Amino acid sequence: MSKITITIDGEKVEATAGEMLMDVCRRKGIFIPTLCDHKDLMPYGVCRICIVEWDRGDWSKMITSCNFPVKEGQVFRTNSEKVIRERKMIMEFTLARSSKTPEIIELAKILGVESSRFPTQDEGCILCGMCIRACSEVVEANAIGFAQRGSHRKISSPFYHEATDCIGCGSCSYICPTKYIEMKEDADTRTLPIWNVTFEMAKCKKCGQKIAPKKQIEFLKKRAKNLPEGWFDLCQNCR
Amino acid sequence: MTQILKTGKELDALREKLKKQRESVKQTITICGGTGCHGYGCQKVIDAFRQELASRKLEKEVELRVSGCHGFCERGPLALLAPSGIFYQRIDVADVPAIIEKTVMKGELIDKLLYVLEDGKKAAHEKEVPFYARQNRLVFANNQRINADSIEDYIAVGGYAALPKALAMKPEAVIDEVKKAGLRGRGGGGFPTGRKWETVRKAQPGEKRYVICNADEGDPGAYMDRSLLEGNPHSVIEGMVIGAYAIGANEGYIYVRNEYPLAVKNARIALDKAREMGLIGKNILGSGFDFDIIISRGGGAFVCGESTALMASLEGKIGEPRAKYIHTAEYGLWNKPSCLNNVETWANVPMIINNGSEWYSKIGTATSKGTKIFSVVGKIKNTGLVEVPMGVKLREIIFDMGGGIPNGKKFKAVQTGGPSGGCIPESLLDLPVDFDELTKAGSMMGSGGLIVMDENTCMVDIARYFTEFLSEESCGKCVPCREGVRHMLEILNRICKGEGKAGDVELLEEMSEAITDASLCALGGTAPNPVLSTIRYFRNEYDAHILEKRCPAGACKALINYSVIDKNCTGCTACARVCPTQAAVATDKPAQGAIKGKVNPKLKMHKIIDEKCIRCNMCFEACKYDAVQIK
Repeated sequence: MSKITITIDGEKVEATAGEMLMDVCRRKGIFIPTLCDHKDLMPYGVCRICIVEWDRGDWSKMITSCNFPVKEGQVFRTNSEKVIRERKMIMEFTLARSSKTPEIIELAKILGVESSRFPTQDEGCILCGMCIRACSEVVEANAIGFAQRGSHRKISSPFYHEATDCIGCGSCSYICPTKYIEMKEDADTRTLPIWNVTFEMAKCKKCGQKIAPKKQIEFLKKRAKNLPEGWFDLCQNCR
Repeated sequence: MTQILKTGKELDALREKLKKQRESVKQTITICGGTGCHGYGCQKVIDAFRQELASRKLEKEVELRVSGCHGFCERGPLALLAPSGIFYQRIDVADVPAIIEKTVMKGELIDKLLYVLEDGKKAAHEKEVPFYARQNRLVFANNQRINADSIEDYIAVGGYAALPKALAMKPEAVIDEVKKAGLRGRGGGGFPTGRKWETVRKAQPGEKRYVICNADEGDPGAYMDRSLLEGNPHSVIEGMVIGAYAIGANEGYIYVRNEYPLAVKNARIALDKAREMGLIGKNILGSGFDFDIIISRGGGAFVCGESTALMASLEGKIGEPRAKYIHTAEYGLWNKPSCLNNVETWANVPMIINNGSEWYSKIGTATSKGTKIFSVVGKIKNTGLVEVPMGVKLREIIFDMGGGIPNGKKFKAVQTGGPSGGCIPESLLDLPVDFDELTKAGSMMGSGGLIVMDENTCMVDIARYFTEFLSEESCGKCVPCREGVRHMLEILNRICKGEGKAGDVELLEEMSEAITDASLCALGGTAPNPVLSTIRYFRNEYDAHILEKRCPAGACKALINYSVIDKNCTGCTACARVCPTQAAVATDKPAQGAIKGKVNPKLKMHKIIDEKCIRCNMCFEACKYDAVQIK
């Protein structure tokens, strides 16, 4: 890919053609807030908090930086009055939805939003879709998805029943930015209540430590064919 | 047996043959078989005609055609007689024998089936009816001339003449012709069609590419695409084949709402026939060009009319839009270059190739060429579809063709461009209708829906209604649309309930900026339009609701009371009989109002008990003496 020069907040910046604007900004240390972007996932562009102003000369357009591929000569403003004003409004929308979620309250404060003028809810899920995207793009289990539409949208197992394709890897829980997806473990099992699934844990043949759900190990065995015999029988420490 | 056409010459020869056959028929009766007329029961009328013709052994002399929508939906079921040109409306099954007996056999007119003009005179022919007379029907013209399911009829009236012509041209020359014609997308955005085609042609060299027909018409009240696909599916198919040839695609899709069963059926019949005759499929007319079309039925989500959501749905995914920073023309369906146009846009293409770009570009305004079909609905006398050249004034459409507002009411506003459009007030009725003028007025062309409102329509309530529609139809993917539009609706609900606060209007405006700018797709991006345009032109109504807790139009139930005007009440009991909650009751007092000039004091004056009243408006509608008032 060819090297290009773009302008961000009045400064010339080197970038690679087609690179996402947010990545360029991060490299330059420019703060771009986001709630749905993750380095290991494809850009999704739904939280809209990362909007910046694309200067077209005699007019400008708001774009989301996470999924905007840059081209030579483009000019952006990441902190214009318009950007700040609109980010605050979007943050107010999100804060109204998740009014008691610490991560949301914290980002709202950073953006200068202390409270929301709209009726508030206490909804832990911000619908960033990271769980679903991790399950599909990284794990490739495709066990969960979105249900309903509009303001009824929610993350869900198929038809709200048991997520039969879930392998219990817990990626959804680890990646959730608001710690909404709970994962419980006891001596022998792992449970993800939101997907209605419980898994029996495999244990290390040497030390007896829990390794991972048996279903996850079976899933991994099918994919990782070049590993030594018995690799999955042992925990990380005993391998 | 169906003839397989191998060359353009064979097609021409077939056309000549079909034309002669058509001309040999002495008389034809064309019945509108569009969805609207089916609602009036036209199927029974059609069956009655068949029976009547059969019993009189007239089937060979008189051809009965069942066409698609004629557009004058207000007056259905409709029939057009040829060659006499007689136009009958509001036909009942019982009228059929008389039509055959008197009109078909003796040439006499049946008075009660004629359209009554404003001055009371009767119009015997379609061209004398103002609704039709002022239109310029180009795209829609053949809807009245052909059996909706007959490829032979379409060929006979000149259909598929553009196809061999285009196939003989270089693809680039076809694109050039469409560009020079100035055709812009009829689905809402108004993007130059030729430019889109060119981008698709040049994108990802060597890769497979697709053409798509967007028949997911979802705007409430808009049905021009349905009527075209029902009544003249071959014009859409022909346009698609030409488009596919121009951009180099071998595969096409028609994405049509499953709620349009007749459109699905007729499109399917048309595709099968076209395939049988070699007009789609392998080596079309010996040109070496292969192209076929698949029908995909949509599940009824409004957002699937958005191009990226439509393509996601075609791929079998959830119908949700994605960012368009990378255009679908370059990376669309299955990440291949894809050319998506709306039904009406495709139907314009054969005409451009047939008559040339120079002819086409003479119709319309400087920046919007050709004609546009509008569906005129709401508080309007002549509900229906009108096709007019771009640049016609809204006033002409609403008052000259549409016949104005019924029941002597006053015009208040017209919503153009569907739920995401805006309300345009009377002061702007002389606006020439084209893509750019409507946008300047804070509305948009959209797909061409015009919803007319009268003095009894509350503009805050209308904004609330459209916002509710959009909130429900939002896919919920991005925050501004999902959350923002919902909060706008919540504020509007409050205002309509009389719980509005000072500052609500300003807050709505503030929210609108972020929702417009930051939404992922055009659904959210245009969702504030109904609110913004009503604030812009009807701010006083917002103020009345918020500051005075009053609905000037008398529409918002929480802000109105029903009462009886004592001196007008005749004691007829009509209100009490229709009231579902026994809120309208008789009093002990004698009635004061006169029935036919006479007061009957034995009848009791009525009243409405406010606590019991649910504001259903039944008493108001039932009262013949203007004794029920809304305040």
